[in-house]
Formats: sequence, C-alpha cells, structure tokens
Amino acid sequence: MRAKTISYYFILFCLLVVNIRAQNLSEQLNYADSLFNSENYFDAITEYKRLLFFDRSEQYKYHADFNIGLSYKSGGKYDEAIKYFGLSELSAKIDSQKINSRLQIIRVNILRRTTNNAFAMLDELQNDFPEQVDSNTVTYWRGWAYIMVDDWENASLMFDKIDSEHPLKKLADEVEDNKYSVTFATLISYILPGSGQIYTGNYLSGFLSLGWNVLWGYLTIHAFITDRVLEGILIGGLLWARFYRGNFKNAEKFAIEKNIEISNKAYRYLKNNYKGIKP
Amino acid sequence: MDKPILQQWNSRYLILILLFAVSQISAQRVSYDLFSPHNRKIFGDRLFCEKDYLRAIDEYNAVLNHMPNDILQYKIGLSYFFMGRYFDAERNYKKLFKSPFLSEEAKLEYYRSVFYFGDYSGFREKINTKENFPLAYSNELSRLKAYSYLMDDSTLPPESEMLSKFDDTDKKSIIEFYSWKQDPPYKSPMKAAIMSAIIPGLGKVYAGEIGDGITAFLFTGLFTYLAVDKFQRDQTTSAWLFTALAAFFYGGNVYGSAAAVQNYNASLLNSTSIVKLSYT
Repeated sequence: MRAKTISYYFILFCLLVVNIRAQNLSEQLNYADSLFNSENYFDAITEYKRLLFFDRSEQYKYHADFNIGLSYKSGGKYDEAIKYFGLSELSAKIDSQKINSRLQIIRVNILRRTTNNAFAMLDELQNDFPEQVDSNTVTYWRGWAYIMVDDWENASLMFDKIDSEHPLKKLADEVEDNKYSVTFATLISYILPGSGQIYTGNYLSGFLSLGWNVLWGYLTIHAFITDRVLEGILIGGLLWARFYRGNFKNAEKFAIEKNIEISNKAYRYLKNNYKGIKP
Repeated sequence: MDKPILQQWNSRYLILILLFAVSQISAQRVSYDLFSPHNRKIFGDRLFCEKDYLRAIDEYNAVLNHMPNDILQYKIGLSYFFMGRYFDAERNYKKLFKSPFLSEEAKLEYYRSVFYFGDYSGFREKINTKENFPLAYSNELSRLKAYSYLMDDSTLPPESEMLSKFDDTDKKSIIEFYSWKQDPPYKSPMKAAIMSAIIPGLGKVYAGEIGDGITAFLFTGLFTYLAVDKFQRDQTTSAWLFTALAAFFYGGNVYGSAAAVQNYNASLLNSTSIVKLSYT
C-alpha cells in the first residue's frame, strides 16, 4: 500500500517535469507576444529568437518566425522580413499558414518595389492553392504592385476586376486623369517652342523659351538672307539649336516633375488616409 | 519474515528513486529558466554566430551582471568592432587589460579599434609611448603603425624603415602606396585657370579633357572674331552681342578648367581611398 502511494507520487513528479518545461516556453511565448502587441519590435524579435532557440520540439516555430517577419517588416528591414516569412512557410503545418506566409512575402516584395518577384509569386500562389486562395485577393495585390511602380493605368484595370466602384480604382483613375502626357508635351514643343512648358503650367519658362527661339531664329534667318552665311551657321548651330533643344528637354522634364508630384500626393493619401489593407 | 523485509527494502528503494527524481527536477527547473546566466550565455553565443551583434551584447551584458567573464567581455568588444562602433569596442577592451588570460589579445584589439576609428596620429602616439602595449603582438602593431602613415597627411618615414615591417608579399603594394603618397599626381586648379586665361581651352587639356578644351577654344575664338568683325563694320548691336557671348564663353572656360582639375583630383583621391580601404 505504501509502495503504491510512493509510485503514484513518482508518476506525478514525472508529469510535472514535462509540464514545467512546456510552461516556461509558453510563458516565453506570451512575453514575446506582449512585446509584439505593444509594438516593441526590437525586444519582441529578441524574445521570439530566444523562444526559437530553446524550443527543441519546434512547436512554436511557425508563430515565432512569422511574428519575427512582421516585426522586421514594421521596422523596414525587408530582406530580413522575407527571410523569416520564408522560414515560417517551411515550418507551416496547414495550408492557411503557408498561404499567410506567402502573402506576407508578396506584400514585402510590393513594399520594396521588387514587383517582378511579387507578380511571379502571385501566379505561383494561385497555381498552388487554387481553391483556398480567392482570385480577388490575388488581383488586389497585383493592383497594389502596379501602384507601387507608378503604373496607375494597370492598377485601375486590376481594381476594376474586383469592383467597378472600388476606392482604389477611383484613385488610380483620378491620378491617371491628372497626369500630364510627357510625349504630348515634347511633341508640341517641337512644333511651337515653349508650348510644352506652358502646357505643364510653367508659363514664365515657356514664354522665355519662345522668346529666345524667336530671337535666335530671326537672327539666323536674317543672317542668311543678308548673305552672312558663316554668321548664320554660328548663330543657328550654336545658339538657336541650343535653345530649341533646351525647350523640348525642359518640357519633358517639367511634365515628369509634375507627374511625380501627382503620384506622391496619391501615395500620401494611401499612407495616411486609406483605410483598406495595405502592403 | 522475509516478505516484510522485502517490502521494507522495496519502499526504501522507491523513496531513494523519488529523492533522486526530485533532485533532477530541481536541477532541470533551473535550466528551464530561459533567463538564467547559462542560458543567456548560450543564446548570446548563437546570436553572435548569426552576426546579430547588438542582441548578443545585451545577452552578454546580462550575464556579466551576475558574474565576471573575460571571454564574454572580449566578445562584447568584438561585437562592437564588427558593428563599426570602434570607440565602444575600445572602451570594452580596456576592461580586459588586467585579465590573466586575455590581456595581450585585448590590448591588440584595443589598438586595432583605435586604428579603425581613424585617429591615426593618436594611434601612433599611443604606440610610441608604449601605453598598454601588447609585447606578444609587437610585430602586428609595428605594421599597423607603418600603415597609418599612408592613411593621413603626416610626414612619411624613410622608405626602408617602412618596408622593413612587411614581408615580401606585401612589399610591392606598400611601395606603390608609398610612392603615390610621397609624390601624388595631383594637378593645380590655379595653373589650369591661368592656362585657360592665356589660351582658351588649354586648362581643360591640362585637366585631361581634350575635346572640351578644343571646343572652348573654338567657341571663344569664333565669337571673338565675330565681335571684332562687327565692330569693324560698325554693326554695333551685333558686335556687342557677340562680345557678350565671347566674354561668357571665355569666363566659362577659365572657371570650367579649374573645376575640371578639382574633379580630376577628387577622383584620384577617391580611387586611392578605395584601394587603401580594401587593403586594410
């Protein structure tokens, strides 16, 4: 009877051994999660790494790797983020975890503008999980990839596939409508010097350019008419040609600068005001 | 009679096993503490191997709060060094100058940190005064001292004295640096400007921009010729226009020549620095 009691206590203590180790890791996970939730990402990464180091059975590996990836992503360390999302995908046990990891890798690729990788991975995701991954999700992230490379036309097409009234489609259309045509600005400058700059709103530069071209053009033609050929060649070749070239180069430059301003305004809106899911 | 004795022995045996199990559990309970000094040390070593130096430093410092450990102090110094925080590395190595095992190594790394910090004259002064000098590594420090002369603008020692510190494999590169340092092939911006003032474009040719030099010469010459020609024909308006253009190109040519030489010297300095850095 006494031996039986001692045996029971012995088994109880053995069970305690297992539980103590598991409890420590569980406490460590809770601690790391609390740091992550309070946006203390540097310390969160340290504590998740500590958890990974001591978690011999790798029961928390997916969760820790995934959250390390999120922490690095929040800190703008995209290469490290991709590395840990990749590790989390390898240790994922179910399809939803794999899909989550891949989507995060895609989103980080969008953020760092390696959009070729993002597009390739979106195709791969759709092929590998055709039933689990919603096509709208893939289209949504394709749209974002186009936004990040300043291709608002294709971005609009993507969001249109999801919903013709999608707020990002409207934004893309607005940006595309507001942008200046660089080709048009250059072309009209060839025909009428200064007009390209006036088209982009740079009136002073446009009129000055027109003035210089008229002046040198008049002097060149006048020189030829009065048989001062050398002078005509010099003025035409060195001065008129320089100002004519400068005119359409300026028109091109101003159009590009204006377009950058328009895009940046849209990016600021997306960063500060857009409430939907962002990369 | 035997059965009760047997039962007694079974009970005692079980109690002993139980006591043994409890002692093991207690020991394991300590090692399950992830923040124990031992566990922090091994985790820190892992971070160090992964080159996560900032986190490794935190772990090692936490261990050092419990007990002194010269190796960990040394590794903290190494971590700061690898992160490029040479001043912090120096501060850590100083703590090991009296270490019974790592004193010489710490002194060597201390001097290396001073060198990499960029204070070359301070570095040489410390070596000359033999301040905390690691005798076991005097050859390494002699070479580093010789090399420091190539890194700043101080007066070079005699070539033979410089080269004596290096073995044959390194001598060729050192001679090359030494010659360059002694007589750098820099050009004078003032000279370029004066040359262009006398003959437009000549300063540009001196700076190595031959095409630009010829262009400057032609432009300035042609506009000057046209200006003179217009004045001779009493075409005052055109004459002044071409005079202004000639003056503009002449001034641009003088300024451009000086700027071209400055760019040339800067590119020379840049390529020298890159070579020096790759050598160290």
